[in-house]
Amino acid sequence: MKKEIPSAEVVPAALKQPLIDLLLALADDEFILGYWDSEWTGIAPVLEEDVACSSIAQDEIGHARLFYQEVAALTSNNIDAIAYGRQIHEYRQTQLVERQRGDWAFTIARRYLYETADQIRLNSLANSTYLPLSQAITKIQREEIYHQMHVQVWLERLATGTTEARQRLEQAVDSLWPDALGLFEPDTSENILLQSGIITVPQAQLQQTWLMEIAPIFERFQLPLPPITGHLGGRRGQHSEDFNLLWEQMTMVYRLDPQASW
Amino acid sequence: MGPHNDTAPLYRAETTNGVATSECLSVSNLEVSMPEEDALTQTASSLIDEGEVYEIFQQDQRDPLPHHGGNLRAADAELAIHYAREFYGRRQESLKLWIIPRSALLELRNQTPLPAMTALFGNNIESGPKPQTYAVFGQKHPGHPLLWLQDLEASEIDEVTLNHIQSMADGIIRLWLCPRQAILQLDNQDLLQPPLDRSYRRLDGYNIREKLRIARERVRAQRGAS
Repeated sequence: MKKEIPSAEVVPAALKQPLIDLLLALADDEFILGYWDSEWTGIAPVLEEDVACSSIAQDEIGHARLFYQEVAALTSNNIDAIAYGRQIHEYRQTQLVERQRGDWAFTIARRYLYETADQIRLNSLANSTYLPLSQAITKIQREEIYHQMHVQVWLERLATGTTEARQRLEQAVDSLWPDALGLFEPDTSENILLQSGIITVPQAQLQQTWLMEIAPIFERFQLPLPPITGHLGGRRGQHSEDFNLLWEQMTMVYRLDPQASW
Repeated sequence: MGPHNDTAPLYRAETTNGVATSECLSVSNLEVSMPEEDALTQTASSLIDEGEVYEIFQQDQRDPLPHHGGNLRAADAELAIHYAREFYGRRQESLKLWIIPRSALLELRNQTPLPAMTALFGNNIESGPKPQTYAVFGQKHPGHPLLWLQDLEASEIDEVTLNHIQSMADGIIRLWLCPRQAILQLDNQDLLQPPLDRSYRRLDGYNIREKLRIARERVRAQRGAS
């Protein structure tokens, strides 16, 4: 039974940076995805869907905030500085979430890939020896159930819908798969995190579980299946042109005056 | 719907083999109707398929009974439940939501003799065993939301019962009925009362007053020091 780490103060020195990197990856994924999804506010296909989508995007940013707070506890930076004050190469989101919003099919396809992967990731972290993380995840999982239900309804609707819906969905899935394979990109600090029990399952195994779980769904709806290799690099700070644009936009206000109090 | 003509029969009961047909619900002769759509919604909905209308009832901590919150459009029941949660539960104001397709609801406005419930409901619910229990909602004052009043067994529903309900508590100006089984209930507290702090979503969540107080104190302290 691995030893529990009850709070930020007692994290062993060797584990600190790997843990921060892990938390940043979780936070940045939710933050960037929430950011792009919130662009649907006012222009979603249906009024009710506008509210639902905006609300889900808000949830994502709320989850990001929770993770950023854990990073703040470990680094004594304030969370605004963590969220907005880093340079592009210091962000650790997977490239899947940083692609621009796209059309509705693209958004749904991306959310579906992300939410199914995230569920597996969160499940594997629910018993982390780092207690603040496992506690945060327990709360987040209760909210994520709704996100998963919502995106599954929409995937099915588009996949079994009109010709145009199917076409757009197929195109979206095709273009997203290479990025999606970057979700579980292997991380150099994985071994030390596994040894301490902060993470309980290696990335490669999580990816296997995820692919095995969603392959039947994609087969049922006759949607494209993944290629062999994907676009990696997100977890190492390598990001796409789309993220350059987003970073400029989302950090603009913060960079005007990093010392401002909001 | 045209004006009510007092001399015309309340409804024409055209029956085939003793089974009431859709001629019963000739709207212009009947005060029994679907909850009203206005001219604007009728025009808009004829252009695009926006899905079905669902009426939403909500109940929060202070309510002993569900009350009407409004309605929404959704492509199907599953999405209706999602949207109901968004529109009527996103600020954690509800413990329970009832989502009812408008097609399952009948509206009753007057007190003249009513046909048998089975004749009325025959066209609004799927064929199958007839529902046994109906929910009754009533509106007491114009502009006030409808409240759930009580449930009635099908055998109990007749003119006498409905008149009795209408005469309760200063009279009820409008009644809605639907089979209990048509009511979709959302009471999952993970969805309606999510665990994370959402005070930022409420109008009073961003606390201006507190920030002003802190700013005033800071200014006062600075003036005091100078």
